[in-house]
Amino acid sequence: MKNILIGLIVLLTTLSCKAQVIAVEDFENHNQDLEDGAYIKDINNVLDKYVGTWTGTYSSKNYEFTIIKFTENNTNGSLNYKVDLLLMKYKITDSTGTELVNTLGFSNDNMFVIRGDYVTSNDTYVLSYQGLDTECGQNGTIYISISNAASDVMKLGFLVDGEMGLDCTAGGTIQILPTTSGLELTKQ
Amino acid sequence: MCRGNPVLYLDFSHCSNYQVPDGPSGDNTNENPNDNQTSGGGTNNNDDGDSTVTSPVELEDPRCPPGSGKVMIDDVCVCPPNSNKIEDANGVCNCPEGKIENASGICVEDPCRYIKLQIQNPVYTAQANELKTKTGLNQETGYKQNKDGTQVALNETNGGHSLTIPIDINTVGYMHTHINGYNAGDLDSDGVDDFEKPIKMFSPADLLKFLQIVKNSKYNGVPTHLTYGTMISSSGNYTLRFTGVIDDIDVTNLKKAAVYKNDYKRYFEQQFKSNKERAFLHFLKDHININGIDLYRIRDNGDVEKKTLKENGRVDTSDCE
Repeated sequence: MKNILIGLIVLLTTLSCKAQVIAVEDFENHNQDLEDGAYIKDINNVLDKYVGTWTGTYSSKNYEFTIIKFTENNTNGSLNYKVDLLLMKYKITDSTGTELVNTLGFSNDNMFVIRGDYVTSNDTYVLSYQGLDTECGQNGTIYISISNAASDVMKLGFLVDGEMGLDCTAGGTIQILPTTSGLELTKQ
Repeated sequence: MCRGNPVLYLDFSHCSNYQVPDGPSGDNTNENPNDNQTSGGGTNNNDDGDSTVTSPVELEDPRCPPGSGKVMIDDVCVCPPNSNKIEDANGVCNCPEGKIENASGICVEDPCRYIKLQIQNPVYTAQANELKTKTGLNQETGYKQNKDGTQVALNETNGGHSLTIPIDINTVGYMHTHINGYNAGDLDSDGVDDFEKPIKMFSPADLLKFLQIVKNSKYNGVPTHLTYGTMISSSGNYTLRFTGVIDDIDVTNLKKAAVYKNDYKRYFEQQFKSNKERAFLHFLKDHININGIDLYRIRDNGDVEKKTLKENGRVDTSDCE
C-alpha cells in the first residue's frame, strides 16, 4: 500500500512538472494561448540549416548576414515561456566597400537584430526587421527559405511595413533591404 | 465654458490654447519650463469641467462615518475635494451621474456615454462603414479628426502597409483600419507565395499617438474625455479612451514605439496568440503602466463593451449601459 502511494505521488509530481512543448514547425497552426512554462522548441532541428554566414549582392549593395539559433527565455511580467528562434545580424556595404550599416556586433537582445517569428507550413522562416531608421518606416517582415539539396543557397524576401513613430519629422525613409525581388545568398 | 455639441462633429476651434509648449505635438524634448501644472498639485486650466488633478485623493477619515468615504476638513466630514464625488442620499460619497471613478479615485466623464454619442454621429458612422469595407486591402487607411471638426483622409503608407497618422496640436482623434492577412506574393523568389499576418489590435505606435493626443488636450482646449483612437478590423472594432491623470503620461518614461515592438509581438504572436484583447491588456499593464488607458469594443449592433483584466489575468467584459 505504501509503495502504491509513493508511486502515485511520483506519477502526479511528474505529470504536474511536465511543461507544454510545441515543435517550432507546428507553432504556426497552434492557435491557443501558451500554458505557463511552455516551450516552443526546435525538437527536430529544422532551424539548424539557416545557422551560419550568408552573403549576396543586390542592386550594387553587398549583404552579409550572420544567423544564430537562440533560446529566448521570456519570464517577465505576464510572459512565461521559452522559444527557440533565429537571430539575424548583418552588414551592408556599397559597391566601393563603404559600410552602410553593421549590426554584426550588436547584442542578441538589441532591437535592431532581426528576430525570428515562426516557421511556415511551406518551410519558410519569418522574421521581424527594424532598421536603424525604423522610426521613419525602415521596418517590415523578412522571409527566408533554403531548398537546395546542399542547403548552401538561401533566398531572402522583404515586405515593407513602413510604420512611423512620433519622432519622425523627415517623412518616409529609404529602405536598405531589397524590396523589388528576392535576394539570393550563399553560405560561407 | 468651452463646449462642443457632442451630437454633431466636434468643433473646438473657438477654444483657447493654454500655454502651448513646444513639446507635446511630437517633440518629446522641449517641455515648457514655466509650465508648473506638471508639478504635483492643483488642476489644469481646461475649463470644460475636466480636472486633471495631480494630488492624491484623501482616504476616508476614521472619525467620519465608516463607508462614507468622507474626510475631515475644519471638523466637518465632507467628500474629498479632489475626488469630484458628491454625497448621495445614504451619506456616501459617490460619483455624480454620468461620471465614473477612475483608478485614482477621481470622478471623470464616463467614456461609455461619449462613445455611444460618437457612434450615433452620421459622419462617424459613414467613415466607419467605409473603413470596414477596406480591411481586405493590402494597406491601412483612415481618418484623423481636427478640433475644428474637419476630417482628414489618411492614405500615406511609405511604401508599406502601415498608415502614417500625423498627430499635431489640433488632433482630437483618429480612426484607421488594421488589415487582414494577405498574400504578399513570392517575395523570396523560392517559388512559394509568402503571407503577411498583421495584428488586429492597436500597435505600440497607435497607442503612443493616442497618448500624445491625450497629452495635447491639456493645452489645446479639447476635453480629454473626447480624445480617442479607433481601430477597425474584420475581427472587431476597438477604441481607446483616457480616464487617468494626464500628467501620468510622462514622455521621459515612455519609449519609442519601435522599442516596444519585439515585446509587443511576444504577447500577440506567442503568449496570448488566441486572444488579442488579453494580449493588449497584458502588454499595457506590463510595459506602459499608465492608469486610465481604457479599451472598448464597439459591436456592429451599437453595443459598447469595456475590456479590462481580471485578477486571474483573463479579460473581463462589461457592457456600457
